[in-house]
Amino acid sequence: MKETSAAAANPLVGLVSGFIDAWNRFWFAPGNPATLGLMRLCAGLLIVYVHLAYCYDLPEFFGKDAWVSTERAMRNRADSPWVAPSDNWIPLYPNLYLPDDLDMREALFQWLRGLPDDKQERLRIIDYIYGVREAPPDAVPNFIRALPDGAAAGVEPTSPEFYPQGFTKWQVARFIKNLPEDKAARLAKLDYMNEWGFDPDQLYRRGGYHWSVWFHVTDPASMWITHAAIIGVMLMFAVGFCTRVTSVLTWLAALSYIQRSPITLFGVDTMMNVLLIYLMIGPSGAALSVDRWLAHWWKARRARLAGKSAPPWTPPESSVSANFAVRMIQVHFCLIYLASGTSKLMGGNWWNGTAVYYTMANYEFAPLRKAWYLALMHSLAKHRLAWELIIGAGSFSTLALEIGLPFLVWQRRLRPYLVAASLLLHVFIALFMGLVVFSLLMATMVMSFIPGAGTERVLGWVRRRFGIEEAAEDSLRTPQLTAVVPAVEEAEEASDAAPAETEAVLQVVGQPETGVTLEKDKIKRKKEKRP
Amino acid sequence: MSQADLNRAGDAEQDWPPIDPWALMAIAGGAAAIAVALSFTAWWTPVALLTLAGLITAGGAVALRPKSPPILAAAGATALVFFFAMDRDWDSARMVVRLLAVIALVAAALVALPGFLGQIMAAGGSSEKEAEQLQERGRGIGRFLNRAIVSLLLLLHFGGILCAVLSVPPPGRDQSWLAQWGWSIMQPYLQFAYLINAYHFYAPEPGPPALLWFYVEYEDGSSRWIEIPKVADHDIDILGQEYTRRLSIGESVNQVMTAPVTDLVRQRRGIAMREGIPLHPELSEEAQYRVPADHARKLLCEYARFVAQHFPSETNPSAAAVRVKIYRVVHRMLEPNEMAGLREYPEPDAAWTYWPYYQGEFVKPPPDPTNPDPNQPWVLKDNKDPMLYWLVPIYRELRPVIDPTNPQRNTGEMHWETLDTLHPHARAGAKKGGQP
Repeated sequence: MKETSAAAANPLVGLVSGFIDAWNRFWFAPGNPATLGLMRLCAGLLIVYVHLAYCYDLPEFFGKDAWVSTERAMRNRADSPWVAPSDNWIPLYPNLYLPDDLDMREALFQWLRGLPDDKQERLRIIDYIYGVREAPPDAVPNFIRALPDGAAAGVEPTSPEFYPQGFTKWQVARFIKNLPEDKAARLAKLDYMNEWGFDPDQLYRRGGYHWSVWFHVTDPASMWITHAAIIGVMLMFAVGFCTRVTSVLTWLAALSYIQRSPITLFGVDTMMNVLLIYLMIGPSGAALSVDRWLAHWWKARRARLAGKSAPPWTPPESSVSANFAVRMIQVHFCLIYLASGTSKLMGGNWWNGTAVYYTMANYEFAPLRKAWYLALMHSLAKHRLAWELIIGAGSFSTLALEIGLPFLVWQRRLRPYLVAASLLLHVFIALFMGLVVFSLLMATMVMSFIPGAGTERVLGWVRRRFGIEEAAEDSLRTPQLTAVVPAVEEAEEASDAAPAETEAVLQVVGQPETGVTLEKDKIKRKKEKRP
Repeated sequence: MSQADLNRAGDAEQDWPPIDPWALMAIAGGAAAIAVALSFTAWWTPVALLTLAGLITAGGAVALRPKSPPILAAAGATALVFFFAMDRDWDSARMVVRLLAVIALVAAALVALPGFLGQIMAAGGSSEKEAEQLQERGRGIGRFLNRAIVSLLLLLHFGGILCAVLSVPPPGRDQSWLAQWGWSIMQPYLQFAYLINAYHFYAPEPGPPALLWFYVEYEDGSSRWIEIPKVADHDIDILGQEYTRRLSIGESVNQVMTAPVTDLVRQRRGIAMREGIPLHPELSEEAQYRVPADHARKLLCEYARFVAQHFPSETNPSAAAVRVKIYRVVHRMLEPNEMAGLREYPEPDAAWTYWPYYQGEFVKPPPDPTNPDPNQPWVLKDNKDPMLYWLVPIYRELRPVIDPTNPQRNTGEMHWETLDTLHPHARAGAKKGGQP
């Protein structure tokens, strides 16, 4: 009551506390893990397929002499340059512009490598560059003599408008002047610049944070054993066995393939990784899993040993971590759609409504090898009006969905339609763009918008329909569950509108307190206001 | 959490699985001790296996009691021991182990925070009741702080992803300065977790795919063409997973620089024109000269080495490859009017829909006594090759139909004739021509 009066007295306090409440409700309310379990099962099986498919190419993608050899991959990991943006209005000019012309570039590095070891002699070269002294033959390549002067020698301009840009004599002279004294260091610097195109002294960071078992396991026999073990772990994750541990192992294993062979990655890897991260954070093994089945079996066994009747099959317990993971997937999914939709707005073909045609006419992805598909595209193209209507509708509805979904999906009434539209989009992507696994993974992600109670209800129906888990069926008839399930469902469905009431209901049905403060007086007030 | 949830749902007598987490921690600790001892003998394979087993066991203990600060702390400490025991060459694995240790230790601190604050505040209570109230208050503050820290991490996570999205420069403009900085700061995290995708799918425009064609010549004079990817190679993979992966290989060298067609480059192209390789009639000169980015050039050397090692001669498998010509092939899509096929039925894979850009001829590098690695990338034979980075055109022209009965006369009708300069170009300089 104190808080309420403080909020009434100061609107800012009310706003802040309202925001904190909303934040807590969104992220930290308990949620049913059934949907997460279903997502784990779908994603897990797809992940197993993705990695089984690697059996085709295991040594070719990850071996010592793969498309990118282990040595090259290790060098990329250790040396790739990272340049931070300038922290003021002066752009970060390279210490030495490298000419685009490959011959000139090669000649430049050859000359720089051959510069004298003695500093005084090197400084004399600067005079040759500017033509102050007469240079001996071949002391300075002709293309350097032909460069524009830039700033005066030795001047270090600080104002951006005078800052010399481009490949100039001034820049080459300054670069030579600042070269390290030690020959080995000088050559290492030049080698790095020749290989990566950046002066190592200007880097913000060097090397990447990549992990892969394939950086270290490279002999074929060990690779196949490791690969088989990884697929075994992934299968365990898919069926939900020791899920907490296998989810982490699966993610680390999937990263191993991703980080070793970046040249073979595409959307599937991105989505698989995103899903794995969140399925690892949430209790994805709490439903539809071997873990859960084993826990139930153990309880039943112990009850039998104690001479009691088998305990009923209870629905998976709601938890904060389940809701947290589902929310993360939802938000990430919305970000993906928004980025994908808004980036399309930069393209002319999306504005004139023809873009979808170019995805459907891509010979390498679309099923254009099939005669029926080619005939379909041909007939469609022959009828301009039909072509414009269908392709335009496809392009604009894709834009509308990708940009609209992230905002509208939070409206409970619109959610089913948007989820259905998203599923439809991914069916089209699978059929006409050939990205089947990608589409299935996206469909798995969009499942996160299905409430856990809804999933539980469908699963219950499936169990009853196919006679699986008689115990479950029996238990659903018990007074305990018939009271609990609808209450939890009602609570979940109401969670968007009145989350505090959800918590109250969860408390009533015996859920553990999750740390969210119950505001009983608020609920009371709301109830009083209702007709 | 799932295991904990399951445990809470279970009977109070004995939950599944009936394992004592401390027993698991003891096993993990024992494995760590053995790994440390073995590390002094540099017997690294058992150390690696013990590390894996020990970490899984410690992870199992954490899964059983995720809210137990001592278990989390012990798991973190065990991981740290493994970190020090591991072979320094396994640096990427050591990074993961260190990360796991840090996560476990931070988690232990977070989980312990409410209880710790409760105890501190309870110490200030004058009576038992007051102490209890203060303890509860301390716990409440601890829980609030936990939630605040998790919220902060959440914001950093999604903020980082947003930076990755915004770090791609829009056409003709620089990317957001803030996103660049955010990207620079968050890069280690985003890169490790592979959250670097900008999600610009088919944006700003859906573009044509890039393929790789290799023409390999062997020491016995035989030769062959290799196309990456090739549908027929992946018929068991019903969902096309590996086929699409191989398409990505072509895409990896599809990054080109905006290199101008200088007089020297034009002059060299003139030589090729005199040798019978004209410019493509439908494309501008600039569009026909595409210099690959630095990164792509390095990859091409790797690809040449790979193809030479892995694709033996079809007629004499023991013959070693001596040179590899690479073409980056843009497979252009039929425009809608071409698909309508007003003159002819559309052929989306007709030869003239392929635009092969020559990436150079690659040869094995001379032996380097300082580096005997057989997987040295191959090297570009001649960076002054007149056709280097130019489109080798395959195009079609409308030509009169010649009367078959009288070759001096045409029938008055016209037909499309495909002119292929690719195959003669590939064979040029070869001992013997290979058949595509």
